[in-house]
Amino acid sequence: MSSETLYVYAIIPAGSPAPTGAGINGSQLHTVEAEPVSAVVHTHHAGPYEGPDEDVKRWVLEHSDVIEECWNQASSVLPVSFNVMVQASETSGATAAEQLRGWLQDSGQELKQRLQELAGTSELRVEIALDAAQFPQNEPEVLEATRELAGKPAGVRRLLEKRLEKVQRRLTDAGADRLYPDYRMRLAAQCQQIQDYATTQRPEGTVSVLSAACLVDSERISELGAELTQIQQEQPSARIRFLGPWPPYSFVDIDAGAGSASTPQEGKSSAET
Amino acid sequence: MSENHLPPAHGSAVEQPSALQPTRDPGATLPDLLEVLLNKGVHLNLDLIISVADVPLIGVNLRATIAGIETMIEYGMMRQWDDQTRAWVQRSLSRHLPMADGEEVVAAMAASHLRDDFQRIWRPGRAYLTTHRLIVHRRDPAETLWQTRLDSIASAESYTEPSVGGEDRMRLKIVLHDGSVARLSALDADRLLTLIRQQRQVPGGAQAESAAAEDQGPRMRGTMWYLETFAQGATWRGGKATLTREGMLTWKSPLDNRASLRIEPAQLKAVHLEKHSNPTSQAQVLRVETTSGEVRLAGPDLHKWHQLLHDDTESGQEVDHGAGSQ
Amino acid sequence: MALEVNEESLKHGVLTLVVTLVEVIQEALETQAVRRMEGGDLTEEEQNRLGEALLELDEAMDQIKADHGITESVMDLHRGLDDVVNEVVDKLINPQRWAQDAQGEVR
Repeated sequence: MSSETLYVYAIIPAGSPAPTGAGINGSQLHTVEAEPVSAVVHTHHAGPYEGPDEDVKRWVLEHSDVIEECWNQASSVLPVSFNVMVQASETSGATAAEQLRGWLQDSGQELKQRLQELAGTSELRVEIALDAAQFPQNEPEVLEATRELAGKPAGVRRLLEKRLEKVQRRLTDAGADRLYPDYRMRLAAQCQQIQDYATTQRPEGTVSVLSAACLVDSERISELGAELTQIQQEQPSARIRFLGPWPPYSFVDIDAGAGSASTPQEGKSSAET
Repeated sequence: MSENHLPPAHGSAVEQPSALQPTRDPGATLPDLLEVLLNKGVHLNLDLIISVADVPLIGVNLRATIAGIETMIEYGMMRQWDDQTRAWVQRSLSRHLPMADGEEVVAAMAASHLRDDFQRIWRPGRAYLTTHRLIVHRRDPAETLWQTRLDSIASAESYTEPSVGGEDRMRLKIVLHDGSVARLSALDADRLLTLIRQQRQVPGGAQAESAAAEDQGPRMRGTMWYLETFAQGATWRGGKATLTREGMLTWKSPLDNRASLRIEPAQLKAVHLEKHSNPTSQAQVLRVETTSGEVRLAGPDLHKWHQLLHDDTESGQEVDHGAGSQ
Repeated sequence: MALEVNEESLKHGVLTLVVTLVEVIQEALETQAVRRMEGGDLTEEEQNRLGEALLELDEAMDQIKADHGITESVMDLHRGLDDVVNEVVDKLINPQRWAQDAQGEVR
């Protein structure tokens, strides 16, 4: 594919300063504007980015750097996924820029509204897990299984340890079920929106209680942090990861156009008090 | 559960020294960032897209398999596979135990039948409950030890008696319409009894109701909206509510990893129906008061939920007279 | 995308796959062994023999992974497989998450 395409990084409010840094592989950035929004892009001459994992990682980071810069400079940003490109139309003969402008105009009001809603917010990720060895350490079942280990030959111990591990995980998982509602409620009280996600990283020997992307007023991140400190103090076997702040990647919530099979939408309806 | 969810107050100018600081260290967050950037964000579609994140990462490639399975389920392939397995079992069984047309095995388990003519003797075999009959069959040498049509069964109940070895064993007593009585033992007599009753709605002995109820899931379960409170305002979220036999009320969104609501019977204080805007066409929502606060639920069959939960609070310590808001 | 076939990377990839699958099988064996033990089917002598065999397998696997420098990649693939299995199970027991019926309810 040799025709000229536009690689899209982000959508920002029209009139925001264009990012000064470089894009993927040092490419030069510019904006395509269509009131009330504009798109941050570079002119691309090849197909999608493909290659070894190491290259993909680097490209994704360069992509995210551009979004970061937009996020720091513009009042608000809608991050666009990696490897999204706009192509010239073969049927109408419209250039890539015209195609993109057309899409921005069609979805302009929706995009603008979401930009306003996300202004001044950050995404933080909270992962709370329980140490499966520590959490149930005083449960009778665990004490019993531990006692059984003593004085047994190595082979038997190997099996008994496996069983102990199973017991620990089951008890910890039941504990996680009990703790989740409280943690969820306390985090939600500090957030504008919350979205559970499946953890990609599980530290060895832990059971996940809650993994959530949190949309937070950028001024109030420390309040969320304080709540987590509180949780840590109450529950010494909790292992907490607190990541961010990032642009609101998980809360873009826009599926422009029709009939795509992209990320599932939250089952939400009206907000009210 | 503490109700003090506020961060500790600080009188000094020190800025919240106790608040956990989020990390942006790329070493720690890179995998998360990759995940987010590859799966989230605006997806342009229409015909002007070349590609949406078609990245040769193994995690992403493996996900394609899932899409495949989803398609399989959609097109009912799993069901077909299941049907084929069942048909095979059916065929292999019919070689030694003849079945009528349309007759299907519902359950099979090790069992014995008591022959009680000139000598009392338990003869071991397998019990087959089919859609038509209850059979105790021995495979080798092949012999049907006892059988009856389900519609000939007048009653079925369980009782215990000491076995030869001295232990109490559970037996089944099956009374037929012609007045004859058969006694069976089975590996899982409870389950067999439940299934017999389900299959024929046989009026059981005294504890028929409770025995059959034991085995069937929660007391109530259904679609429900739950009002979740955020920093600014609250949002109704869709999901499923469940009231277990033990009286625990839970609510879980299919998008969450665990249930957001979990009210033990001891935590339940009162339930009320009240007027409140909600996503359903009804005006009322269910307000549930617990020892740690209150929650609001909306959905179909609200009156039935209210009734069940209300009865629970009555049987508990608190009596609620203020529920009649209708 | 062109497949990169160089002998080193091929060996690395195939070995990773094989070792990961052996790990998965070992987990299944362990689960089965523990279940038998709980069911009281095994004498202590049998338990010990089984456990020792598993211990030897642990050591052999660690050795192979260290020798070929695939500890990290086996861990990644194993995790990836777990995720896929979890997703499939989740999809089967929790079809609403995918059908999104939570949303269809209102309007």
